Amino acid sequence: MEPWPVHPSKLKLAAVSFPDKVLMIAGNNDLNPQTWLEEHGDYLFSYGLLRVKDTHLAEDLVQETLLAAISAKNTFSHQSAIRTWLIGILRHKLIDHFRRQGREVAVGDLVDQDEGDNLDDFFRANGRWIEKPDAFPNPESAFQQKEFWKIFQECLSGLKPKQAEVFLAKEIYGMSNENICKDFALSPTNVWVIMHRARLSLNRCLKINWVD
Amino acid sequence: MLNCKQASQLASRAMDEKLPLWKNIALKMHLILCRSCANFTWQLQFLRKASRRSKSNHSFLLTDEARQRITNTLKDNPAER
Repeated sequence: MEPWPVHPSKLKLAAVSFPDKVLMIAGNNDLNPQTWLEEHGDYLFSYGLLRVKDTHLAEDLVQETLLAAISAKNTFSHQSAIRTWLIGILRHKLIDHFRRQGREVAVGDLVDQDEGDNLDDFFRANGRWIEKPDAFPNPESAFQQKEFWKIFQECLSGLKPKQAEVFLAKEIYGMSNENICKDFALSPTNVWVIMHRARLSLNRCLKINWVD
Repeated sequence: MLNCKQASQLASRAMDEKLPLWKNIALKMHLILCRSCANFTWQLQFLRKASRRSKSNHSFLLTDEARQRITNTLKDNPAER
């Protein structure tokens, strides 16, 4: 995969623009909590936002997560990346949140919804499309419209948790396949399957809500 | 010959890595003959562009105010010694 351009939020922080990868490695396991917000704040925020669908709530969750991380700093085992560890804490915060709302959620509901290779919603038994994909309109004109981004975000929120999580990390935050496998404990084949499903679902959602 | 399910799997995988040569040829052959799968690959490009754009263009970033508020709270937090 091609290296991603330097993320704009990093440009604000670094006078010299390092390639994203260098920054990720440099910041990856930094145990100074001050840098956590800078390095991982946006990622935690978007992860939470996709689950709770409320900006203020997602901001509060980032704060709660970082506070909890600071108190639990000593329990961080260096086997995982800081980001993975922070996401783990955020997942628990999300569960607490859903519990407060009276919804019973287990950690498994947020992370382990693996339907394997089942694509029956999209393909017939003979491997043909159930609904044939159409050509989408010109992306540039779609991207100009606020409504499109609202729908895009809603479609992302509508994905199964694991699909949303992997899609976010990979397509929006530009994580490499290698890091995704490591961070989410997935095999390369798992990642292909999850991404394929996520893309099929997103395309369908965009078609229904945007194109049609 | 690939069916559409297999072709769409390969098309998605091809977004992320270089396909083995023979798989790539099989996919290309399928795409020449199948309008639906060609449209699907076009949708995949659309999705990628949208994803990359959404990062800078859209509400996936903490606002400066939220960032400042969180920074202040973290500073005041007694757990940080």
